[in-house]
Amino acid sequence: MSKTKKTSFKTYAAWDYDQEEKDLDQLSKAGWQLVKGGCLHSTYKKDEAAAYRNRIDYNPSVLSNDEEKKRYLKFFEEQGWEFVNATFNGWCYFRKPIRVGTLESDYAIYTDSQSFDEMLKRWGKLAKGLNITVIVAAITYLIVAFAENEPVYMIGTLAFLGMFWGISAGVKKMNAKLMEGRS
Amino acid sequence: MIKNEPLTESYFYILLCLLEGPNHGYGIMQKVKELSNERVTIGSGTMYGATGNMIKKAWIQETKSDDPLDARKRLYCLTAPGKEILLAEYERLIFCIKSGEKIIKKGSANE
Repeated sequence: MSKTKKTSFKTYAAWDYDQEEKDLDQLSKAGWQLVKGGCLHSTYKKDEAAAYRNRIDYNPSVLSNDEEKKRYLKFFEEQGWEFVNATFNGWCYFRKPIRVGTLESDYAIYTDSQSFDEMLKRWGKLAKGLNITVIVAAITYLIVAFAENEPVYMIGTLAFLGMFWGISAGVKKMNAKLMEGRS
Repeated sequence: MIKNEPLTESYFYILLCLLEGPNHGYGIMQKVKELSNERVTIGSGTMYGATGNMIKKAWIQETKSDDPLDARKRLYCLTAPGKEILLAEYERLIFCIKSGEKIIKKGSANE
């Protein structure tokens, strides 16, 4: 019996979300349709008859249950986007059936640089919060290393500094997307 | 706010559509396409961001429809300050065109 469901543990960094969109489109073409996208794993269902364009957006207001969430999802629904799911930290997966005769540019959810910039800034806030946490952790390990006179704790400091460096590089990569979009 | 600061194309077209009366997101998107001969399209993410910002600035607001068939739709309408902003932008654009004509038309006449 052939498989009808599969789980993928392939993970993407936030700043590679556009690569994830491309991969989702490829999987859809191959008959694997996204059921649930996630930061750590994604699930797919086999459906060879369907083909979707997948788009990922960042909007933490989807995590609340208020009017703003409804307002947000309505704009996608109105333009034929089906809301698949949102991750715990606010990434939203949408998909739209591919229709013959539709221009590729009509599948764009951001059509000007200002709104795209605002989306990247929404994510930038999350990255900033994460970076502050990481730095606090790095300093804590440093203090403990000195207080306990146990240099082994410095490994924690180095690990968190490494994370800080990684996230900062990612933020730069994310910001570069805006310039790419403009050129 | 600085007076007569240029609007983005999306903002301008959304306000322009709403001058004719309240409309929902999809209606605005369709009308923008039609008005601009398909040159300007407004994606869902852009529409969400632009309307959200303009609600905050009180240029537009959400409104309820009288038509029961439209009750589920979220309608947006222009406010008095929004209309003022739109008309100021229209004047500014005309002014830009006139400035352009002084140089560009003169340039093409010499060709």
